[in-house]
Parts: sequence; structure tokens; C-alpha cells
Amino acid sequence: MKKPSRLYIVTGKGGVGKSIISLSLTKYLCQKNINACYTYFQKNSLLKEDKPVSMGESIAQDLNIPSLGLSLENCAHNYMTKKLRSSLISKAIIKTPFFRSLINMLPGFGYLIYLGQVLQSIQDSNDGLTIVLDSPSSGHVLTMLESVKNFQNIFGSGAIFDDTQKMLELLNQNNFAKINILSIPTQLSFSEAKELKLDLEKVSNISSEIYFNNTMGHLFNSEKEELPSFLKKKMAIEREITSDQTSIFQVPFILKEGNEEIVEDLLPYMENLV
Amino acid sequence: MVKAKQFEIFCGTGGVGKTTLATSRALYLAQNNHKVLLITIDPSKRLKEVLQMDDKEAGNVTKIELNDAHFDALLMSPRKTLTKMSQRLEKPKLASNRILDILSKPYGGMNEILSLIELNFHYQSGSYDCIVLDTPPGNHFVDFLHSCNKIQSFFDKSFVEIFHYFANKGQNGSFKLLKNIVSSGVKKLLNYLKQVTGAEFIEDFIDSLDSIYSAKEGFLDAISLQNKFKDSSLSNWFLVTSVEHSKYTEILDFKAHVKDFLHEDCYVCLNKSGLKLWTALGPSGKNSNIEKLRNVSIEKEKNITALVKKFFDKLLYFNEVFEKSPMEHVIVLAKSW
Repeated sequence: MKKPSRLYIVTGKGGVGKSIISLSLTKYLCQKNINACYTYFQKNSLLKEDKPVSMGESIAQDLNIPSLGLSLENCAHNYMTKKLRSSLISKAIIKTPFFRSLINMLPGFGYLIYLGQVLQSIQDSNDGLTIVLDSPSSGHVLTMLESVKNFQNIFGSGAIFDDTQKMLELLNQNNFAKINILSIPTQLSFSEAKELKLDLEKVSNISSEIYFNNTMGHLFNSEKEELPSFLKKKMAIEREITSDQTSIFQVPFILKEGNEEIVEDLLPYMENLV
Repeated sequence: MVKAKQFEIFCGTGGVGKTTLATSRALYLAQNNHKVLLITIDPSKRLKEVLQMDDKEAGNVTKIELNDAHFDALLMSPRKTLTKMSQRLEKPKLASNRILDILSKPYGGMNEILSLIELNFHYQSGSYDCIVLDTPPGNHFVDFLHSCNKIQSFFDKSFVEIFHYFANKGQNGSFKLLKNIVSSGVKKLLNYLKQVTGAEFIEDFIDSLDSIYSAKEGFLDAISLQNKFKDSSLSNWFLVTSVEHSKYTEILDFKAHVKDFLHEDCYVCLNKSGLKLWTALGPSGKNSNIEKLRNVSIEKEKNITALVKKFFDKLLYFNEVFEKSPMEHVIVLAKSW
């Protein structure tokens, strides 16, 4: 296995299997004795008290996969406490209408605080904590990375500016972070993945790689019986997209119903996503 | 058949085929002689792929001719909307503030509010019978509509006036004693924030709030559109989900989110359905992968259907389409409406 990164951002169009793959990757890393942890990025507003448990988090619980639950409220509080050296003042500031309107009007600010906390957790850890970040959909990961730069421009100077500078330096360190872009084998999904890769390259130096997920070719290779016509069409589309892209690794479709079983069955393929 | 309305709002997580389905709805309505505008708020701009539009067309209404029907389409460009707004309201500061400029990048954060402004503009132009709205993935748009109330109270709250006071460096003669007392508290808060954000930011941010405040009427007017989204005679809501993966958890989450907007014309669209295709095929009786896939697919879809039906009355099925080009997809889907 190649030397793992400290942060894996798993992204791609909705429905490509980000949560399942993130969980399986976390479990795989844990099996290799790496202190890996799953986290789901939930952009919940500061005003919402209750945080619904995501599907990923509940599967993580069922499968005993370590997971890091971070709320924006906590992240913001931690950060302000550090800067102002007072938990009380920090709490008071977060509760002001001014701060809340700052977060509401600048959604990217929330992403920045969240990513800052993720990076801080990695840096603070003594035993090589590796975080697998299950990010909701393509746009969000761009917002998150773009917001680091945007806020540098917005702030211009001061503590946040210095900290975003440190964040960028850390993220751009060789092999610190890796972005896994997942795509199902359809035209729309694959072109979105390619576009995302290009856009990501514009906003950061983090290495990114596209993977096909849920390919079905392996299911019917040895089938002697005739495929139904709609399945034939589906397979033709898959073949057309994947045959030109032999360098892209294919994570196969798992013919199981339960998410837990699927996470387990995907483990043998995860080495390629490290 | 789903009756055409002034506003047709498509929501759902990414990857469920929301843009394609919204486009097929626009095509269907256009084929039935409605004047249609299709707006995509989705910053990933799938519409340009579906309709083979150019990135350069973002922010401008583009005429689409598809399958002998005509409709207009618009890819949101927050920056262009902001510029238009500043010109219309004659508030040049809106388009020149450094912070607002960064925020009006496609992923900058003002995408939703500016979309509503753009939408309001086209609604008031009276040129369209139906405006089909393709919203960003997830709960963003609805979250945003909820935050409309917050924006509304933001404009009502006197603290914005205090920023107005700071922006004008206290040269406002009508300032009351009470506000002076409040402003000293705000000053303290700003001093704390300056330690973290730097002084330059605080000044620009106050300035950006002031610019937004100066365009108050424009924002409040657009925000009032949300009342039309609550009116079943003016709007249809389509919650798009697909049978792939575990999207039903998100649909339930969605129900909780949109409860203030939902009325009787809220449809769940089950996209990429294979139920009819697999059922029509019948069991082969063999122990093959095809048979296993058939069973897993049918089982999954039955579970989702049962679950959706517990919470929503109106369920529309859209068969999975196996066409290579997105345009062909749209044409096939339009027939399902």
C-alpha cells in the first residue's frame, strides 16, 4: 500500500456512492492499523440546534467505524475561544445577531470554520489521525476549497487571514490531502467528474483522482443467457465510457441489499483509493 | 396529468436527475403552448450540458428549440444579477463592494438570494406563463427560503441601522441617544471581532451590509415571492428522488425541511425507476446474476415506494432512460408528463 494521506475528501455527483465508499475506505485504513476516522460534512446553520444523524454516521455506528461528529456551532466556538482566549466571550459573540448574520450571509464562512477544525484535529493528533471526509456533493467541496481563498481575499489581514494561510500551506503539502472524485458510468456523471477535477485544480494543488463506482460489467461477463434489452443498452453505455478510460479504477457494483454488507464487500478494492 | 402553474419548483439531492427532469417538464409545457422560462440555480450548471448551452451564456436568457417546441432557458450568474440589480436600483455601491464581489462568485454564497431576485425580475416582466425552477442539490434552496424570514427581520432590526451609522462614520444627525448606547455595545463587539478578522474586513463588511441595506426594497420585494411558493394555485413542488441508493432518507429529511411550503400540489418524482421494466421481464427461474439483480432492484424499489407513500400522496414514476445524449433523455422524459 502506498503511504496514505492524512485527509481524504470523497466527492462527486449525488448518488454516486460517496458515503458507502468513504466508510469502506475508513474501515480499510483502520484494518491497516491507521488511526482513521470518518466524518460527514453537514453544513448546518448555527441557528439549528438539532443535528440529524446522517446515513453515513448511522452505518459507521453499526459497523464500529470511528467517526468524528463536528457541528458548526462547536467548531466556531472552539476557534473563537482559541483566538480570544475566553470561552465565555466566544460563546457570547457566537450568540450575537451580528455573528449569526455573518454566518447566514457568508455561507462559505461556515465551510471555512469546519475545514479549519478538521485540519486542526489532524495536526493536534499524536497518533497520525487520518480523516476521511464524506462531502455532500460536487459543488460543496468546491465551495469549501474556494472559500479558503475567498476569505483570504475578504479578510486581507488579521488572525483569520494568517490561519487561512496556514490552512492552504497544509493542504498543499505533498501527500497531505487527496480528493477522490467518484463517478457512476454515465455520460453526465463522468463529464461532471472531469469538470470538477479541472475546477479543483484551479483552486488548489491537492491531488485528485477520478474513480468509476458501481460498474456492472463484471456481473455479466460469464453470463450465457441473453440480457434484457434495457440492460443491454445500459451496459453499452457503461462500456462506451469505461473502455476509453482504462487508467481509471473501477469499483464494482455489489449485488447486495444492505449497506453494511456492501461496505464490507468493497474492502478488497479500497487499496486503490488510498 | 399535472396542471401547469406559474412556478414549478424542482428540488432534490444531486444525481437524481433533477435538472434533466426539470428540463423535460419545461419541454412538455412548451409543447402544450405555454410560454416557459427554465432557470437553473444549480451552480454546477448541468443544464448547459443537457441543452448544450455555452458557459458564456450564463446570466442571459437563451432561446431553446427542441423537438419542435420553443422555450427560454437561463443559467444563473449571480454576478450578472447583482450588476443588473445595482443598475436598476441605481445603487452603484452594490456592484463595487469588495466583499459582495467575492460573494457573488458562483460558489460564493449569494447564489440563492440573487436567484430569487432574478426570478422576481422575470416574473414581473409578465413574459412567461410558467417559470420552471431547477434548484441546487440538497436542502440549500429550502434552507434559504427559511432564511428569508431571517433576512426580513435583519432589515427590520435596528442593528443594521447601527451599521448604517458606522458606514457613514456617525454623520447621521437623526441618531437617537438609545442607538448611541446600543452602538457602544456594538463597538465593543467589533473590537473583539477585529482581533480575529482584522480591521479592514470589519470596515468592508459594514460597508457591504450598508450596500445591501440601501437596496433593501429590491431584496424585500424578491423575498416576498416565497408567499407565492406556498400557494397551490400558483406553484407546483416536485421533490425528485431516484431509486438508486438510499435516497429515501433524504426525502424524509426534505419533508421536514419544506413543511412550511408544502401544499396539496407537492409531487414526489421517483426517477430512474426500473420497476416496470423488471416486472415486465418476469422471473427467469434461473440462478443467474440477472435474476439476482432483478430481485434486488424490485425489492429496493418496492421498499422505497412504500416508504414514500407513507409521507406523500402524490407519486410520479419516471422510467430509467437509456439514451446516450442528455437531450434525448429530455425528449423521452417529456412524454412521461
